[in-house]
Amino acid sequence: MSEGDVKLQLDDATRLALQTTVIALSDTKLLLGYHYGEWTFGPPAIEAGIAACSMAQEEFGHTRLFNRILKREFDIEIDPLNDTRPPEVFASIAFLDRAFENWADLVAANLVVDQALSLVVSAFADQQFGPIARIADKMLLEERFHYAHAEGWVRLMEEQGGAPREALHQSLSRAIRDTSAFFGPPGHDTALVTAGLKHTDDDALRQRLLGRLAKLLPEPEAVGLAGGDQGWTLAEPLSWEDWDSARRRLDHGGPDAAILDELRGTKNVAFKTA
Amino acid sequence: MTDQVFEVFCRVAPGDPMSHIGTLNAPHIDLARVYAWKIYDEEDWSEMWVIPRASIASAHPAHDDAARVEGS
Repeated sequence: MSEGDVKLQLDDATRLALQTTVIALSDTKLLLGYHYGEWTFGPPAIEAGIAACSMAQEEFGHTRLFNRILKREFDIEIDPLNDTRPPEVFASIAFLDRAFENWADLVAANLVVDQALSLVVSAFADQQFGPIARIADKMLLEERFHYAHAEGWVRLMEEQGGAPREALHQSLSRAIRDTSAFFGPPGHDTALVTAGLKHTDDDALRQRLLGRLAKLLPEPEAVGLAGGDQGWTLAEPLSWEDWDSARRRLDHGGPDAAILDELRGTKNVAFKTA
Repeated sequence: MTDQVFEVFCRVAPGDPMSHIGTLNAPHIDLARVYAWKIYDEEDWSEMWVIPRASIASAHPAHDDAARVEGS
């Protein structure tokens, strides 16, 4: 199947659902890459800074791939350096809206946000939408190291106990709620599964994520999870009335203007070459 | 948890000699593996290994550990 085939076969609603998913992947990976890049300096170990820098490069690379898909398949052009969209239209996970306060925020994004994006990408693997299916394996291979990094730090901070563990739990609690919102209300993406573009719907992916987190964390209840052998959910369920399907989030704010300025090189417009 | 020193060894192609390419600090082996891959990925290695320095024993007779032979 060529890349253009799917475009012709999808009805408008399915096509829109696919488009918003790709935009959300692109926007969230851009913001995630920004935060990883920011923590090249200031992490608790030099090696962790190098790892963060490397993960930033990979997230920016993935963003570029998704932007290429948006251009080819949907005629939507997102160029991070020339992007003029206001913060309130970004489809990025709310946990990434502001500068991270500490290393615990980075580890939480690494564990929860990064893994959520990988789960969504994995649902497109070996499915009918070629543009994502073709890049999924390589992308997920890179993401395996992101997960290993997050898991290593979570283990360490849990063992440290005290303030590091408390900070981690606070960060994870926020990341888990914001990322759960990203997966949307149950059934919102049925069209994508029915059309054969994804093999697993977002509700099942969310349950898979929460189950993995509960398995990793010694005390899942401390980060706002509830459940057990039958599966894990949020102890305080989300209310979906205000969910914005175009942005896949409940929080109606957006990334800090200062972060977008840095991503866009606003202070260096005079030096731009194109 | 205290950091340990890990030694990083790589092989470019199967059959090539294993080369020592550097060291790193990490609190445990799992993070050492991630750090090694992220720090030393400039070549297309066919193998990469991390080994805790504390697990490496000297075989040179001039070194104390290796010379600790009965009667020497």
